[in-house]
Amino acid sequence: MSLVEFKNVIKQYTMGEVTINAVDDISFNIEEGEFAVVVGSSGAGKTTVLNILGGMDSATKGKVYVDGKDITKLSDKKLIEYRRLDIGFVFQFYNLIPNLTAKENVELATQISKNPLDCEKALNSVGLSERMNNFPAQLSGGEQQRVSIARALAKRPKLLLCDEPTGALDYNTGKSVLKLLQDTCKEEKMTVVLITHNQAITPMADRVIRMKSGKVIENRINDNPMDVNDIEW
Amino acid sequence: MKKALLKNTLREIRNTKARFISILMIIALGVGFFVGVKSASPSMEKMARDYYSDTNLMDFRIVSTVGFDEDDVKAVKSCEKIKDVMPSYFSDVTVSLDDTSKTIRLMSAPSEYEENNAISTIELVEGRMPLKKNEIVVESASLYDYNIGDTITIDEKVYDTDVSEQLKGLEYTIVGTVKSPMYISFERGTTTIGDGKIDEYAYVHEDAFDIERYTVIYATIDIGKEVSPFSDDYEKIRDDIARKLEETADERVEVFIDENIDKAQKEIDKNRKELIKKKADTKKELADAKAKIDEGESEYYSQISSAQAQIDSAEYTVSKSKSELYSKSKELNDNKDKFNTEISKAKKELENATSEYEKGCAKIEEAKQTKASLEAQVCDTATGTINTVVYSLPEGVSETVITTLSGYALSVTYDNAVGVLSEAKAFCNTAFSTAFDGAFDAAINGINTINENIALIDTEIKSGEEELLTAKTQLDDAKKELEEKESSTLKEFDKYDKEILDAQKQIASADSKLNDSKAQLNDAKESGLSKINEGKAEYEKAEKDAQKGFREAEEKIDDAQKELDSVETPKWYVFTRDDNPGYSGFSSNTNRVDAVATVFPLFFLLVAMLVCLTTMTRLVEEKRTEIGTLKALGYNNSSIISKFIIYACLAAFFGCILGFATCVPILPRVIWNAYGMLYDMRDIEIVVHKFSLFSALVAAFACCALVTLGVCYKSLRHKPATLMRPKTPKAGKRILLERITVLWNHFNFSSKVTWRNLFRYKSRLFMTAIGIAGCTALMFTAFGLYDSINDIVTLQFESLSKYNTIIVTDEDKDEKDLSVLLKALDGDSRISDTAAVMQKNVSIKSDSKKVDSDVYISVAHDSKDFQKLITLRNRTTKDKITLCDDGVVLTEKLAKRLNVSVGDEVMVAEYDKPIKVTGIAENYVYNYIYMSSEVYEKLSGEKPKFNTVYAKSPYINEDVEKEIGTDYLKRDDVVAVSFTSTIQKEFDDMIGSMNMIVLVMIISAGALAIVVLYNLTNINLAERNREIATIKVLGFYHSETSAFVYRENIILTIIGIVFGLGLGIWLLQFVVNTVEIDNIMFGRDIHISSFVLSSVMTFVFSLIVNFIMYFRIKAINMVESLKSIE
Repeated sequence: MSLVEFKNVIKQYTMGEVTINAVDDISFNIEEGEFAVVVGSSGAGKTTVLNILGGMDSATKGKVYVDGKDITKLSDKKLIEYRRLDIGFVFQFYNLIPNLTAKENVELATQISKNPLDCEKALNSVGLSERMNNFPAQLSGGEQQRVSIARALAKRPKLLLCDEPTGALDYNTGKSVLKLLQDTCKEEKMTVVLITHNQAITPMADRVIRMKSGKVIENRINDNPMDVNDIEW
Repeated sequence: MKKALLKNTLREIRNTKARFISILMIIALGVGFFVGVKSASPSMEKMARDYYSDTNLMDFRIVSTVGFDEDDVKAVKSCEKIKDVMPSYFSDVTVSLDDTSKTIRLMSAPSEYEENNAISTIELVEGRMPLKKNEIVVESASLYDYNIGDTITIDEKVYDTDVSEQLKGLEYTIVGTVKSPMYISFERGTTTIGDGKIDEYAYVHEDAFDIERYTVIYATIDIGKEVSPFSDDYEKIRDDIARKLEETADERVEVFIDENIDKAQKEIDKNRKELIKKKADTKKELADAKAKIDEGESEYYSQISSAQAQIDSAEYTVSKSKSELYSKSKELNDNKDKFNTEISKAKKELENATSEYEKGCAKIEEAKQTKASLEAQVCDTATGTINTVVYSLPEGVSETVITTLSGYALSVTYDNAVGVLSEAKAFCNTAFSTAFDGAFDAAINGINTINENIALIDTEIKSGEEELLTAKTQLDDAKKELEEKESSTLKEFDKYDKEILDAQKQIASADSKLNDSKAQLNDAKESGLSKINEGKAEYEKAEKDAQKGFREAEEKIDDAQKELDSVETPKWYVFTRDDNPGYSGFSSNTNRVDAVATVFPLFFLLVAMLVCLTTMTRLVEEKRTEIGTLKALGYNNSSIISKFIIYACLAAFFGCILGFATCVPILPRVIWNAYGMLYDMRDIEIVVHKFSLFSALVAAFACCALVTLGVCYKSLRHKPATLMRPKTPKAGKRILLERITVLWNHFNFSSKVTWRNLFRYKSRLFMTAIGIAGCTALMFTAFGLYDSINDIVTLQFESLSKYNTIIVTDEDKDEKDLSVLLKALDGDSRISDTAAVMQKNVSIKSDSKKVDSDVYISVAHDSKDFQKLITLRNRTTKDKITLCDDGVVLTEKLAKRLNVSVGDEVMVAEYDKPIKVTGIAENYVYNYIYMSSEVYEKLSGEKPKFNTVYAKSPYINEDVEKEIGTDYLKRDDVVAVSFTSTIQKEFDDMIGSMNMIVLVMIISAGALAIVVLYNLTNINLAERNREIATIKVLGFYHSETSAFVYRENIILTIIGIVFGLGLGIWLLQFVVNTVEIDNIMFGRDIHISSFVLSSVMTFVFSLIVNFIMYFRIKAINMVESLKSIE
């Protein structure tokens, strides 16, 4: 069974009299341990997918199974629990709490998890053992994103959701972040779902889900994912 | 302004409703509360002013111990600046109801003719005014259930005075209920009768009074309407006039004394003099009378004795005469006897001679008889012869013959017998010849013979007769002699007898006269004696009567004198409105509201400014890009700023309107309603305190506009490009707290976040802290104020003043009288302790200050007793202070006002001698200078005149108070009896009104807290939207998320509370000092409850806000976390 399974998911937004299907009857699945990339241009519905998958939004219709659990049926509280225990989230703008040091930001996540990683280990694993006690403002964007990743990983989630993790980073930093994610996926057997508009990233993915206008236009498995370092864009 | 910009502004408002409303609300609160509370005092004042002027409330109420006459009224009227004067009557009476008795002040309702300028007119609430003398209107707030038409019966006797001396009737029919402007509160003032407290007032028709002199004069001041009776101007003018009135009073009193007392005194003196004179006169008269009586008596006795003497001499004379007479009469009788014997002897002799003579006579007689018989024989013979002749005459003889012969017979006498016979013979011879001669002859012969015998006898007789004749002559002579002798002697005797008789008669008459005299004398004696006794009795009676009369007269005079003396010196009392029950309280209450109102706007303005500041800062920051864009588009700074200015000013504008519209009409009424428990006047008419409105508006707009301007300029300094780039978020920073690693490491991460956040947003920290602090401080002040006032009663009347009864004694009484009263009190089972003091209003000064109002010296009669009832102690240390003989003890407030401490010297103005302060005692009500009698004597040089007795009744209640009041007021030496419970009640009322103010303060503080917290949390949330969204995405429960925010709020609240309590202590002190009146010290102890309550309530408000915010936190969309930083 797939770790993630979308079944005929429809998400409608009603703006006045107009009803827009942000996600229009999509179905796909992602297997455990896969590095999946959801790619599409702006407005393709990928963020909606992320929202629904991340338990931040609910589907209008259809079912979403994560680890066999239908998250569309979850109560508000259960949904929070789902986010808390099953999901790790990496934001485009890192979303670190500016008032907390790197380590503390990680702690923010670990203290609510059931079986978290040691913070310092998590930070070590993202290569930030030196900057552990720095505030986000004292870190570069890449470093911040690493903290963000460390924060997500420290929870030992079932699923690591990344929303344009490189969107705010320069090329090299972005690359190193992607590398980190890929390595994590491989080494930790972490299922990673990465959302991006950047087509160039797709070769590094195990699975590529291409979206356009609210529909999945492609869901393929990349038999030979490339190492990030080998990708250029 | 460009249309687009305006539209933009309006849209901005719509988009940021919460913020706009926050500003609006805080402005509304600030302005509304400030103006509202500030308006309470002028509204109340205006209402009171209108009420006073509508009812033409008196400015002065003058009463006198002796009443007033028209001249007095004129004198008052002529006083400078006095407008109207209305003399009137009042009388305090009692009405018995079931088992209690109520004291009612009966006043005369302003009568119709006075209506035009009647003073203190009463407002009819129900029914109609009294038109007849037996009609009455009662007060509308009457505590007893009177109905119109009921009858009130006034007690005939008000204690020892007869009501009928003052009132014509006792029964009155209630015809209406009224309200008097003189009684604005529910206090009714005091009187000298009954328990000393007036329970009610009522008005009757003027005619109901039966008093010669007016008992009261009401007067108003000729003062413009624009001068508020609450102003100092008014007080100044009033005091000036009051002084003049006092002068007038003195003059009139002198006149009165001249006219009445002096006159009366003169009259009494005159009467006394007259009495004395009369007494003297009467005494003299009586003495005269007595003298007369004595004289009369002595005269009487002398007269009696002289009369007795006379009588005695007369008696003597009489008895002498009697004895003389007796001897004389005896002599006479002897003589008489002698004479009688002589006479009888002579008579006997004479008788003998006579009998001899008679014998001789008898012989003669015999002879004569013989002769006579012879002669008779002759006659008989003659007659017989004739008759025989006749008889013998022959028949047929003429009758003539017979008749002649019978004639002859009939004419026969002895002497003519022979002749007749011879004639008869002759005749017969003629007629008959000698037929009968014989017979005749014979008869003539016989007769001759007889003649012869007779002749013989005759001779005999003749000789005998001759003899006899001589004897007779002799006898007769003797007889004659005897008779002569006898008769002369008898005559003499008779004369003597007569003389004796006369003498006897004289003596008898003298005797009778004497007896008469004696009787007379006795009578006289008796009558004189009785007269004397009568006189004496009369005198005694007269004396007694006179004495009784004098005594009575004296008594009368003494009574009059006593009465006159008891009139004391007549005194006028000039009362001002301040003496009306509740009047001064009203202005101090309005002032109190005002003082409270002045304190708070500071907070509101400060908080409003802070709210405005943060909100606008946030707004401007959020609109950073927009500002940049507009700038890039070529809008100049002012038009860009104008948007924000307009935004802020609109909020201020609507806030002002809202605040003004809601608070201003409501708050003064709320406050007035709070006072409604104390006052019975009218509904207030809102008067907006214009200055405060103006200043509040200016402050509101200025604070909004200036803050906005400041915030905008900060942003506008930047280049458009910079502005269009997102503002780098405020960097996280280590805080000081982290240096204390021990502590910091123990914090969990959320505490760390919280603390860092707290210091990260300093303005918010300050704002929240200030807002909360303000809220706490306000509530703390409210509770503290409440406690302070509440404490006055408990501290003053339970801990400090142990007495509960105050007996004011007659000042003229001396210490002996005092001890009598004290003894009576000692013997009273209701009273456990007493202490006599002398109390006197004085002024006092220290080196720097002078206090000349509401200060009393209190001189202890017995320091031990005194300290039993009055606790002298230091407020903070509670150390006892003793009254010693080398200084005085001041009460705390007084010491503070004088700015002196223990060891300093003060000077009681009246005595002009510095005295050391040996102690400063805790005291809350009134200002006292306590001292011992010795100190007083040292100070004043005279002995204290104790005029007050404090007494403690251990089981006091209303009934006992009434009893004690009634019992002691009956005494001559007691002027008034009052109870601390009355003062306590006043304070209770004050506290009652405080409740409402406390409530208003709590509500406003709560509103303040809510607005501030809401606004801040709102901004907090807006600023940390991403953060919260992120946390949510990370899987924080709602509660955890909220706690993430709340923790800050809670810490801020706690910080705010801590500061607020500190601020509150200061504010409370400030308010207490502002609100406190000169003769009262509020409680200085702050109760734990004030701390607890204000903290807890602030916390509750904070929780309320947090609760509201919970939903907002819940509503934050996690998708926000995905968005880019703006």
